[in-house]
Amino acid sequence: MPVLTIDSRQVEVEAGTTILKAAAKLGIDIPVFCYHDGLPVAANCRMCLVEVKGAPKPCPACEVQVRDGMEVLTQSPLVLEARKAVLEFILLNHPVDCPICDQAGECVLQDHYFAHSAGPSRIQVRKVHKAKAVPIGPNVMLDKERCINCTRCVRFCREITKTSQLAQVQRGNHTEITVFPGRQFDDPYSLCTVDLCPVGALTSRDFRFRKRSWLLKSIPAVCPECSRGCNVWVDVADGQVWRVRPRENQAVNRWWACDQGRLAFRRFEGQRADRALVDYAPRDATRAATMAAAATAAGRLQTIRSHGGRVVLVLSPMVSLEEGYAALRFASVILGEKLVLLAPRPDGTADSLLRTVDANANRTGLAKLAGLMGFEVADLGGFFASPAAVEVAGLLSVGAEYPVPPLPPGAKMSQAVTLSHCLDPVADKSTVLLPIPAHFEKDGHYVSTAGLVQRSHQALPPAEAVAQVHSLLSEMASKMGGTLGFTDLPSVRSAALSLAGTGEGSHA
Amino acid sequence: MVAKVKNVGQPPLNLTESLYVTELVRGLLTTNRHFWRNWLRRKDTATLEYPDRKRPYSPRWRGLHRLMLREDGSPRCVACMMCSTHCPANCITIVAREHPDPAIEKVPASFEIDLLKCIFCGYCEEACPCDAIRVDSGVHAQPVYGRDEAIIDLADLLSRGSQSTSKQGGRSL
Ligand code: SF4
Ligand code: SF4
Ligand code: SF4
Ligand code: SF4
Ligand code: FES
Repeated sequence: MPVLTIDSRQVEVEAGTTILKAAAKLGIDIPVFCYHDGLPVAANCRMCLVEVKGAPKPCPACEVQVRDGMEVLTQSPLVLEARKAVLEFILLNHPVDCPICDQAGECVLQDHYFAHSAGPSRIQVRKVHKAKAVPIGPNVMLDKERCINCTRCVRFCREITKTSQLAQVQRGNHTEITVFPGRQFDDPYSLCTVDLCPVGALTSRDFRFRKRSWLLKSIPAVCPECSRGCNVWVDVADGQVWRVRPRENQAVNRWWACDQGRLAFRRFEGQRADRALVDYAPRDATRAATMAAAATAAGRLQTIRSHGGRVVLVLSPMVSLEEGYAALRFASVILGEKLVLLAPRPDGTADSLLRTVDANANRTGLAKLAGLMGFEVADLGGFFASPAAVEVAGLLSVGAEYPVPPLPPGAKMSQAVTLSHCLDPVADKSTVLLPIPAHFEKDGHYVSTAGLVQRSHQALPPAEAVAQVHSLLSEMASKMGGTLGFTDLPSVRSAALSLAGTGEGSHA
Repeated sequence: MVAKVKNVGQPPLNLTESLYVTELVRGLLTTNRHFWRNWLRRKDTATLEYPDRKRPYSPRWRGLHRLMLREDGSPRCVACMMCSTHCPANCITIVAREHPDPAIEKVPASFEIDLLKCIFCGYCEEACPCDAIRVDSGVHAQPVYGRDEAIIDLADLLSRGSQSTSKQGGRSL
């Protein structure tokens, strides 16, 4: 293996490693614009120039591979001068409209300028101006003059999603990024180019102008939109989610996430269940009112049970392992059931990058958990079509968002108690609705389609009247004269995880 | 740093002082002396007949905020949130919106300042990259009857606005 010296420190790396990676191994940071771990090397920005002893000119560290005995300098006067010159060149025609640029605060150009140049502009001629705020696709806005022509976006569309929807046209000062005439940039992963773009040339039309980046706090979570379980950052401020970005996880989503998943947090805007409903009448938006509604629900289910009626658990595979465990425990201890009806969201469309057909975050985990707890798992639609459904007098749904199948003729159904975060068709059919946290408002574990147990952290506190599934079910259990054997979230979690996997990152 | 402390003891009262009446008369004489002097020679009176007469303010005095205008009378502010980020009292609330002209791109949809929280430090003016917000109006914050009335909005801020001498967009050619 070649041994080289970088800034008088020796390092041994695999043959074929680039200087950039070898330096990173020593903890030496070389500034880059166009290089990205997930993309093929283009070496067009020249920000990463370093001095190699014996080479006639500075070399781009992102591209040049190491040689045995190579001597590299990353802080020599030549390198510092080269960085300044590259930045001056990139900024020649840059509009520097940071006050109206959404990238400000997380802009690589701003950061490099402060760290490596910070000189005033010497340009005395009119800058080349280009088109601003061009909506090139449903989710992405392009500012042609802010572009530094790093081609990250072009390479992403060409190499990762293989749609090749973006291209670089013209030459020299007039080079610009564009879509093909009459076409839209409607790549299902188009928002990844917004993250990739080191400057504010590509911005998200959804997030645009809503919040400044430095006001956001990022919480690690897992996307619930399909069974891939992409790792994401949830950016919150003022008690609201403003944006969802992919979080690097080489085992799951690498650096990417699909647009649909990233914009899904807006799906229930304006139709969140923020208070309990009993017989369609809203209760007060307080915790006490929600608990009272839970007691009412418990009383009704108890009446059914005391007349020998059957109450069946319907479980949405969108809920976490913790919620699923609490629900299954309630079904076996309080309802005396060994049947659970899984009510998934309808299938989506898979693609070759990340999206899976199964649009449910936790089907693998909940099906396994139910099996381990001795449950027979059936499909809600299938069960409703069978003769056994006629005898069911009550339903307890945990989670919603599933299509409601028609009741069988002559059904004895009298109560449907639903624990849900949204006012969807399931809520419309419920006699009691108890509000629970939405996905980003809870801390829970999910099992991806590949069987990886992943934790999604709580990004936001839910509204006051919203209660966790385990506390609602514990309350209902105590009203129905039983106990579930757990009191708080950690005890539910340890019980659920000891069955379904050992914890985050383990395989279920 | 250790502060210098000067002890000022209370001197004991002598006989005439402790009689109280003599000191009372002395005090009244002082009051009377000032009264008659102000009455007869009004020139060097220490107080002002406020509000009929006002003391001139320093040009640096920080009063009610105003938002400056572009040549066409629209706000210079581009809703960059520098002022609200910098404000130590956290009293500026701005909501941005897209401007139909891509050359302007971003403007405030609403701009509110809560004067009950504002400490008139002027940091907003210093933070502003566009010479859009200023605290040089020379106008006092008015007393109000309710908290809501102490929140000034975009229209109010613009009503005190005027044109800036600096070119919008900095020195970009
Ligand atoms: S891309 Fe960066 S440097 Fe350019 S205007 Fe935006 S924030 Fe400023
Ligand atoms: S739009 Fe952004 S990512 Fe694409 S080439 Fe320009 S600077 Fe690079
Ligand atoms: S004067 Fe100071 S406290 Fe008042 S709005 Fe400006 S920055 Fe905030
Ligand atoms: S007043 Fe100035 S600092 Fe405040 S948002 Fe407007 S342009 Fe930015
Ligand atoms: S990062 Fe090496 S040339 Fe751009």
